[in-house]
Amino acid sequence: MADRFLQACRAIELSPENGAAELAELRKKLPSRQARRMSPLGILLTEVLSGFPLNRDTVLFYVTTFTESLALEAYLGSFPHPSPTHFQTSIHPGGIEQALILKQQPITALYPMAGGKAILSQAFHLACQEGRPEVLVVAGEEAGTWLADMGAASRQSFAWALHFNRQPENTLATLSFRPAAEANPPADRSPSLHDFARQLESRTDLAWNGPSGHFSWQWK
Amino acid sequence: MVSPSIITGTDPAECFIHDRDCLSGLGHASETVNRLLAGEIALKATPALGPDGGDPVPLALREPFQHAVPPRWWDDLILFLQPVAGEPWGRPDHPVFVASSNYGIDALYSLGKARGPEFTPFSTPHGCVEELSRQLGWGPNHTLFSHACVSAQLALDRAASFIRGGHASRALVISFDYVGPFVSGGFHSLKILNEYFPAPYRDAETGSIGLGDGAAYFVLESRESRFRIGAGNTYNEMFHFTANDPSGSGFEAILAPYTKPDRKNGFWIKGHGTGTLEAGNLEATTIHRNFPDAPLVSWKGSLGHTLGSCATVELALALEAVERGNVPGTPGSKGPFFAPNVRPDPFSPGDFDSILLLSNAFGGAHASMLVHYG
Repeated sequence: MADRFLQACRAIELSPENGAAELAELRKKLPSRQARRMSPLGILLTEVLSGFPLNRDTVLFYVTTFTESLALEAYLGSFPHPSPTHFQTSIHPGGIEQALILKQQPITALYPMAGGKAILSQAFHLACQEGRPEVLVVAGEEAGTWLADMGAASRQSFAWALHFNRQPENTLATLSFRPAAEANPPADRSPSLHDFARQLESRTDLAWNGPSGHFSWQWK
Repeated sequence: MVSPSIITGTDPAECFIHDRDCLSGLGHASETVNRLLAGEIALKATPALGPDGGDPVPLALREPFQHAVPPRWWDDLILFLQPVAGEPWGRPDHPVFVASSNYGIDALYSLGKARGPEFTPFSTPHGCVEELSRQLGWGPNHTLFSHACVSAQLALDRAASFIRGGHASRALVISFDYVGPFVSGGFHSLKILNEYFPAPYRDAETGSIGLGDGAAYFVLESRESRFRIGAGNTYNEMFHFTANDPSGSGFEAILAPYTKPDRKNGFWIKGHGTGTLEAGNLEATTIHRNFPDAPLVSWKGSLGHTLGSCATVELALALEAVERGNVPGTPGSKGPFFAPNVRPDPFSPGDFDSILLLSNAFGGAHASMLVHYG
């Protein structure tokens, strides 16, 4: 059993009805010159990381299934004269890099991950096995338009961030991982990144089987 | 002043490399090393957008670009992975670590042009890997990394950490990055992929890169073999998206752990060396300042930059070169170099006992790893 203790968490989601205005409000909080070129996902990640302990020795796992969908759409639309700006913005892991570059925050260990339905479990598995003490797991998606219709982008814009360490005192929640004992464990039932964002809001305890073992999440 | 970064790889157990191979524009690892030793250049002037035209740029492709389902590279990758396909990969104690900068981005480009749903399964990272899993009979325990051109080194680093920590009995690392118009068009728009062929570490007026197809696999376990993965290290400057901190802070930070007296000698360096001027200058001069006697080579002047796959492709070549007793120099480049320890010609690895593997990426990302061969 490997436990990680939650010290802080933040989540944000743009509403389908009023997302553009909500994003504009968030953008206003940032230096205008830098914010002008930031993606919606970069802005959401900047917002959820504000106030989080982040220094050079923090280990950061960044997870996103589809990354900067609007930049991808804009870049694809720019052919046959590909846009350098949209190309740069579309490069994984641009979202988290926007947030960190804005802070001019060097970081030793950044593990940007991709993946589908098991991505949450894979990130939590790495976080639980990580030997260094301070760990952030940060996730987000940016709603696409036609790419979402084709199944290649998210339909929601959201981000969340979790700060873990190994100190059980004054913790908000406990993440536990138990490696699978059998060669063929039960089917993967990992929550999606978006479902997990909702869980952070409702503070519901969770337990599920991932590809490498069993996870539980218990709020204090 | 930059203080030493944390070094991973200090867990009690050790991690050794067993099966491994790579694919490049020149063939598998063995054939590629032969041809690099002969000074062959795989890069060829190719329209940046393939069948859709564009300016000629240096690309080292295994097959020409095409809009196809499955993608042009699918059969090539499946065939390449056959030697390691027979194990229960993707089960809990046999994790798979997958790395790519772009995964199926050429399918996304085709999706953008044709808006055909047949391209969707290959157009996302997880879609590609799920198709691979189905085809190769893997279980679902695969972890995907995508950190531009340090991706493969991160996957190798995490896989080694799992072996050292006893979290897996064997781990498979695979990487693949096949170039498509999405990527070549993008680099061309940034002007660093241009009509010039790359000359890594050359003190020239114009910098340029080439791009190449690349794939690799590594099987890791704690059972001893000739090649042991040693200390590793990462650092992310977060100074600018596409430029390094001009002070060289990232290059100093990534090398700092190896400057201790007990580590300082004994390795040669497989550098990142894409052919860009600023990064090439910072890399070569920082290496020379810290390790004046360590030979430095880059093979991207021949193979092109294999992007998220470059660390594992080039490590497979480095190990093959060690077994051959002859390390390729820096094909496609000639002096004057930014630093005197750049080796244009082949040399013997026999005077050393380790390789220092270096990779860089957008965002000022840096990764390093020592591999010992004794």
